[in-house]
Amino acid sequence: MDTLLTVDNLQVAFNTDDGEIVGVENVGFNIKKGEVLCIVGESGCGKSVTALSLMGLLGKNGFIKQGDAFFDGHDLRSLSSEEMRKLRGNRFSMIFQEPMTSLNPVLTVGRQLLEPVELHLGLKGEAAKKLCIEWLEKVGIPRPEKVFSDYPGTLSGGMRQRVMIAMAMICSPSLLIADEPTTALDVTIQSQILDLMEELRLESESSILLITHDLGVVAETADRVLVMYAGQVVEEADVFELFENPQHPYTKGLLASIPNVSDDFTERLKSIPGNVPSLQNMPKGCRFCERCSFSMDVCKTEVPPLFDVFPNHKMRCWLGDNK
Amino acid sequence: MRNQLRKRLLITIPILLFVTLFNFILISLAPGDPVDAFFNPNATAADLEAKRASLGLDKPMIYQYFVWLGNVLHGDFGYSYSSYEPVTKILSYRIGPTLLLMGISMLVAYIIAIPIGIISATKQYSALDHTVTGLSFIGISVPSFFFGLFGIFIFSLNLHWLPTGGMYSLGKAADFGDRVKHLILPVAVLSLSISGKMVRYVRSSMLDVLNQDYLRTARAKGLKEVIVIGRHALKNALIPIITVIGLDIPLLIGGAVVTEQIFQWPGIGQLTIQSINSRDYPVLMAINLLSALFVVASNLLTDLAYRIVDPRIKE
Amino acid sequence: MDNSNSVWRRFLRHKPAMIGSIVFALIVLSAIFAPLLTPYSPYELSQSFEAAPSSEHILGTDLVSRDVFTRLLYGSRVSLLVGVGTVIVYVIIGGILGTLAGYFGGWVDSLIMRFTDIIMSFPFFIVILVMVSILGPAMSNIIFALGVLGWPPIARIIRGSILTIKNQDYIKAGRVLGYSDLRLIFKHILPNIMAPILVNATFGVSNAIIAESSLSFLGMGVQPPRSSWGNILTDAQSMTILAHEPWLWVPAGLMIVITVLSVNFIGDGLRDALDPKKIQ
Ligand SMILES: Nc1ncnc2c1ncn2[C@@H]1O[C@H](COP(=O)(O)OP(=O)(O)OP(=O)(O)O)[C@@H](O)[C@H]1O
Ligand SMILES: [Mg+2]
Repeated sequence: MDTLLTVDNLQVAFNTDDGEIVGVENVGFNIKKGEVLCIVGESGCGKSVTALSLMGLLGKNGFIKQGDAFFDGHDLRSLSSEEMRKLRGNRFSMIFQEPMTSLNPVLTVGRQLLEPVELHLGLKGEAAKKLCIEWLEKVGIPRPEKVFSDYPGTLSGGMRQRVMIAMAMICSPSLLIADEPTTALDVTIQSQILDLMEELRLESESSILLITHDLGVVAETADRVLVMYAGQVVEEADVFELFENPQHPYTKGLLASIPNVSDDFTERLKSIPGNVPSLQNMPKGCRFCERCSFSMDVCKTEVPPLFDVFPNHKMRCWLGDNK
Repeated sequence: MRNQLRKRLLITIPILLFVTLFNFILISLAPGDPVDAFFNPNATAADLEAKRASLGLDKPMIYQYFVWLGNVLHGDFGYSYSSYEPVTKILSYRIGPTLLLMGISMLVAYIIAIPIGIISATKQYSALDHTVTGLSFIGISVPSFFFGLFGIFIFSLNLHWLPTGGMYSLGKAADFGDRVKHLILPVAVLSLSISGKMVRYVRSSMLDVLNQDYLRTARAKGLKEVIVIGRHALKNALIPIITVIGLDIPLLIGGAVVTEQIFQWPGIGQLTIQSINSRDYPVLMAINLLSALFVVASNLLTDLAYRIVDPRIKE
Repeated sequence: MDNSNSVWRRFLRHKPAMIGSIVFALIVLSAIFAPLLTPYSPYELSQSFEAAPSSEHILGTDLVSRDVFTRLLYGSRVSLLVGVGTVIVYVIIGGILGTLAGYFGGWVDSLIMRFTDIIMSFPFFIVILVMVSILGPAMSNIIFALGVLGWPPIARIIRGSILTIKNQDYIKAGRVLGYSDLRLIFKHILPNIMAPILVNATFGVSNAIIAESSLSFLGMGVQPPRSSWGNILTDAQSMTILAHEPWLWVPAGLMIVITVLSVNFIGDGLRDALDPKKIQ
C-alpha cells in the first residue's frame, strides 16, 4: 500500500507568558492509504497538539519547531498558509472532541455544511444543497431537509457529531483526523458513530487518524497504534502485535492488569503509581522513569531513542537496547 | 415566548410605580416648599396657605402621590411651578433637542466603536490594539465637562471654528449647516464616552468568540480568514452587544445633563438642572417618570431583540 | 496559595496597572500629607486675585485670591473619600442583600432581586441629582446617594456565586458532616467572589470620582469654600476664565483625568490578573 502521510521527528512548541514550552517532540509515524492509525495516551500527552499541528490549526501561539510532515506528495511545512487552506477541509479534514461547541450556534446546519461544498467543490445553489442533504441522510440524520435549515441548538450531541462527520467527509478527503470523536457521547451513541466512520471509510477508501482514550475503541478500529506519553511516542506497532506483545513498561502497565479491554483508559492508569510529569519540568532522561518498575541508572540520565524491537514494532525504552 | 413577554410587561408596572413613588417621597422630604421659594415676599401667610391649598400641598404626601398618579394616567402632568405652563408642553419642546443630540452621538459612537473594537480584537496585542485600548481608556476616564470645556477652549475660543454653545445662531434656526456646527462639539463629547465603553465591550466580546471551538471548525473547513471572522465570529460577537446598546438607550433622555449644561443645549438635561434649582417638582417628577419609562422600555426591547436575533433562545 | 502568587505576578507584569498604582499611590500620599506640601491653607486669602502662576503661587490664585495648588491638593481628599466611601457603602449594602438572597432563596430571593431590578431602572444621574439637591449638597450625602444606587451589581455577583456554591458537592458533603451552611458558604465563597468584587469595586471608585466631580461642577456637589476638583472647574463656565486663565481650570481637570485613568488601569490589571480563564 502507498503511504499517505509521513511524519518524522515532529516537535511542536507554544509561546506562553512563561516562555516557550514544547508540547510534543520526536513524534513520527506513517499512515498508509485506507489505514486506521490510532493514537492513544492519557490526557495532556499531546495527541490533539499533534493532530492540530498537521492541520495547521495550532492557533496564534503554537508552531512546528522542527520535523517533517509529508501528505500525499505535499511537504506540509513548506506550503504557504494559502495552499494549506486549500487542502484543509478538502484533502484532509478533522472532527473534534466536543460536538456541543464545535458547530456555530448562530448559523444554520445547512449554511455550515454548504461552506466546504461551495468552497472546495465549486457547487452552487440547488446542486450544493442536494449534496448536503444526501450527506445528512448518509450520516443517519432523520428529516435531513428540516435539519438543513435548523440551528445546531436543536440537535443532540450525537446528531451534532454526525453533522460534523458529514461536514468533514463531504469533499471526500483522503485523510480524516478524528480527535476523540466519541469521548463526549453516551456509550450507545459512541459505537454508532464509530460504525458510521468505519462505513464511510470503507466506502471512500480514505485513511483515518483516530485519537482516543479508549483501548476498546483501539482494539475495534485500529490497524496500527501509536502510544504517547508526556509529549513523546513511546511505542508503535500493529494493533494485534501491541495487544499480544506489548514491550514498553507503560503500555504493559496499561494492558497487563486489565481483564476487560473496554474499560476506561483513565481508570486503568490509576494502576500505575505516580503522576505524569508536567511540560515545564520534564525529567532529563526517560519521561516514564519515575513511575517505572524496571527503571535503571541509564533511564535517569539519557533519553531513550525509539528502538526497533521487532519488525514494524518500535518502542522508546532502554530495555529495547539489547534486542 | 408570548407568556414570558407578558410577564416582563407586567413587571414593569410595579417598577414604574416604585420609581415614581420613591421620587415623590424624596421630593416631599425636601426642606421648605415651592410656595416659599416662588411667592411674592409681600404675600400674607393666608395668601401662602391659599396657594398651598390650590397646589394640593396641604394634603398628606401619599394622598398627593395618588392624585398625581391619577392625573398622570389621564395624561395630565400638572403645571410647572415656575413658568405656569403645562408640564407636557415644556417637555414636548425639550425632548426634541435631547433626542437629536443623543441620537446622533450614539450613532456616531457606534459607527466608530464597533468596527474598531472588532479589528482591535482580531489583532490582539498589536500596536493598533494597544492604541485602541489606550484611547478607549481615555474615553471612559475624561469627565464630559472637562472634555467639553477643553473643546470650547480650543475650537471656539482660540480657533473660532465652532460656536461655544446653544442649538442655533440667532435667526438661523432652520439653517442646516449652522445646526451641524452647533452639534459638533457636544456630539464629540458624548460620543467619546459612549464609544470608549463600546470599544472595550466589542473587543472583549470578540476576543471571547475568537477562542470558541466553532471557529476552529470553520478554519478546519479551509475557509478564508475573512469569512471566518466576518461570518462565523462577527454575528456571535455582536449579539451580546445588544445588551450594551439596551443599557445606552436610557441615556437618550438622561445622559446629557452635564453636556447640555456646558453647551447650553435646550434639552431635558438642562431642564433638569433648572427644575432642581427652582424646585419645580411637577417638572422633575415628569422627567423622572419619562426616564424610568425609557429604562423599562429599553429593557423590554433588549429582550425582544435577543429573541429575534439569537437562535439559541428557544420558544 | 500557589494561585495568589501567579495572580500577583501577572499584575506586576501589567505595565499600565503598575504605572496606575504608582500614580495613585502618589495621589493618596499627597492627599494625606497635603499640609506638608503647601505653606497655605485652602481657605486662606492672599493679596492677589486671579493671579497667573508665579514662584509664590505655582498654579496661581483663584477668583477669591486663594492658592490654586493648595486647593487642588485638598480637593484630592474629596475625590478619594467619595470614591472609596461610595464603594464601601455599596459593597456593604450589596453584600448583605446578595448574601440574604442567595442564602435563603425562595421568596426572599425573588423579593430582593425584584428590588434590584427596580434600583437598576432608576435613571441614575437624574435621581442622584434630585437626591443630592434634596438631602443637601454635602460630601456625606453624595457618598450616600451614590452608594444607595450603586449596589445591584455586587448583590448579583454574590447571590450568583452563593447559588453555584450551594449546589456543589463539597458543600453538600460538608452538610453531611454537620457544618453550618453559613460557615461553609463564607469559607468557600469569599475566595470565589473576591476577584469579581475587587474588579467591580475598582471601577466603582473611578465612576464615583467622576460622578462627584460632575455634581460639584454643576454646583450640586461639594460646596465652596471647601474645594473639590469638580467645583474648582465650575468657574470655567465663565468664558473669560476659560479663555484667559487656564490655570484656574486645566490643572483640576487634568487631576481628575489622571486619577480616574490610574484607577481604571489598576482595575484593568486586576481583571487581567484575576481572570479565571487565564488561571490554569
Ligand atoms: N495553545 C497552547 N498553548 C500552550 N500550551 C498548550 C496549548 N495547547 C496545548 N498545550 C499543551 O500541550 C500539551 C498537550 O495537550 P493536548 O491538548 O495535545 O493533550 P491531549 O493529549 O489531546 O489531551 P486530551 O486527552 O485531554 O485531549 C498540554 O500540556 C497542553 O497544556
Ligand atoms: Mg485532546
